[in-house]
Amino acid sequence: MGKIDVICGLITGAFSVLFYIGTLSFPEMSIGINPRAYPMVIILAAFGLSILLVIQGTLKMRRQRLQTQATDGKVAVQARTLPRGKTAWYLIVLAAAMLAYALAMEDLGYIIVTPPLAALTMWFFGERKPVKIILVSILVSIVLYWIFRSAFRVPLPRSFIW
Amino acid sequence: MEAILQAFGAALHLNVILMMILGAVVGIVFGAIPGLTYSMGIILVLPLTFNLDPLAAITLLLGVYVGGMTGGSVSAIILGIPGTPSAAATCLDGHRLAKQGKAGKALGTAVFSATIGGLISVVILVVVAPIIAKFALKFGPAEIFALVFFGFSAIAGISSGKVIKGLISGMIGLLVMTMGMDPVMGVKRYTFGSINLLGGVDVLSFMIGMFAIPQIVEAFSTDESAIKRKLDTNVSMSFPTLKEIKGLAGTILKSALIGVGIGAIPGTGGPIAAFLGYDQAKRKACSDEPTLDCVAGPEAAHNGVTGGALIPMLTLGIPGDPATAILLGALLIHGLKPGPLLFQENSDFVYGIYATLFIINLLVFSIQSFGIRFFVKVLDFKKSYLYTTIMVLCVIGAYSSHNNMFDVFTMFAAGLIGFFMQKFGFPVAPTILALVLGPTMEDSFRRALILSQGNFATFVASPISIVFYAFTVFVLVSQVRRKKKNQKA
Repeated sequence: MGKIDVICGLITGAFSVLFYIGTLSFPEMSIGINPRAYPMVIILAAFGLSILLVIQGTLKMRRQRLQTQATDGKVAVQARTLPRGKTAWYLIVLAAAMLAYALAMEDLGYIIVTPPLAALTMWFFGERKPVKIILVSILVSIVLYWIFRSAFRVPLPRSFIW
Repeated sequence: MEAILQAFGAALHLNVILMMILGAVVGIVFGAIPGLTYSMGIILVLPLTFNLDPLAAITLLLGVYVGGMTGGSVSAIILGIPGTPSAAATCLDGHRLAKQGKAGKALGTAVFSATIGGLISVVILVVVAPIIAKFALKFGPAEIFALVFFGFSAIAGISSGKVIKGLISGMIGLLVMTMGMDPVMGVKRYTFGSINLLGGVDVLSFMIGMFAIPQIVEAFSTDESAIKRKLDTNVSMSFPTLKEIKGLAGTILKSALIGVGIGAIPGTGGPIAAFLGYDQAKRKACSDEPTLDCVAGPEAAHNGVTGGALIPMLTLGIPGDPATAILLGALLIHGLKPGPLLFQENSDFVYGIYATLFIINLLVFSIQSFGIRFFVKVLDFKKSYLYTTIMVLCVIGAYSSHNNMFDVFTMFAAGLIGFFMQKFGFPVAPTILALVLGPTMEDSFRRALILSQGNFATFVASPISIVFYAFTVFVLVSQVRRKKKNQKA
């Protein structure tokens, strides 16, 4: 976890610098308080915290090293932080599907694009019966469409069929 | 008195009652299923409220809030897996009672105690809130800034012991809220050339993404077979007898008061109150055997939090936990700004909240009493159906905010940020808090500086501000001390 903290601290610090540079492009104002003042306070605080996180991470790493030496290299294996293997692939495909879904919804309409995304999600969650997948994904999409469109008057994007 | 009677009249309208029932059922279901949170439930039903009148809207959300707090005990007692963090204390003795064949009695005691705890907290809310609101009318921009600053002390409590990471999460939320047009001068800030970002980032879409998407992703890697194996769906509820109630009364009252007090302090919330309630019940029991007191204590305490947490939220506009932060955001979406002026300009609405909260507590009691078998069966619900529905609800929720696909992209982007934040140990709750408090913080910061002609000393010029800064230090120090104590234990 120490190494992760150091990396996260460095990333936060780098983003703080980028946002600070972005703040410099805000126009100067002569009346009242400058619009860059408030974001700058936040960015400086974030930068300070990123330094603290790096220090905290470094100290943790040192402690872990000392523990490793004390136990002759036998330390508990740390839990993986990010998903790997099949789960990681599922997540990447699902993220891509979500992006495609959001891009296509306005043109094709909610009722056409939602069942395929729902079906894909069901498949990834372990459902393997095709009839169930098709029925449930269509049913969920239609029921929610009806509830939101008719009962709660949310104008979801229409398609040529509905 | 007349105002309260009128409020009850308004709260008993058919559409308000329907919203109460819907909210309570959704809340209990989200509270009961381990892995889902009632905060997520509140976010997902928020889009349903856009075309409702404000009272019906807030009623729906309060229903989810109260129902969610109570629902956690179902899985805690039956499965030994707390549905909400607050139900972890109930789990300790509740599940042991279930193993002894007293699941029905434990559930009945939990529901009864939670209802009484909730009702006591409403009474205290009604008495205390107007007094605080009257005092808060004296606040100028510098005092409001100090107050919001105090609100941020909640980050220490909701960061699960990772204070630096929690504060960074808070900064992310504050920075996100600076995107778009500057509220005073109209200068473009961090819009990256996008017209869609001129109006700023949509808070609701961002909240849905941050809360729901990481939970959906997390559900991929959890194994539900262990839950299914433990599940006994043939449970019927059995309430405590009059004699038992007499024995539990002291525990329930004390725990409810603990809950109200804890709920009113930013960053504390249900889990702390529940464990304090459990602790005092256990000391009373003086035995290692599981007792009904040890179920009643935590349940009354964490439901006492509901009214307690609404005191700073309604009177000062300061949310104490993620759920009240979302409630605050919902009120803002409906054009109502919580704070002292709400009590002057919309007193009918405030009384309406009191009345609905009171009725919701009774309704949750009835729904759980009659529907316990259904809520137990919900635990058996297939993950693939549940999360598919949640996924579609997320998309609709984000879209319905402005009927704009850009908000759906915002939701996905926030989901990605939230996923990586959680994976690297950054709590997302502080970001939610910052999203809600950010605009008030910037507004008061800049107005104070304009009024003082750029003099930063204005922030510490008033005794009220100094008191809030002192409170902030006190809360932070006590949280750090508690963390150290827990580590030692």
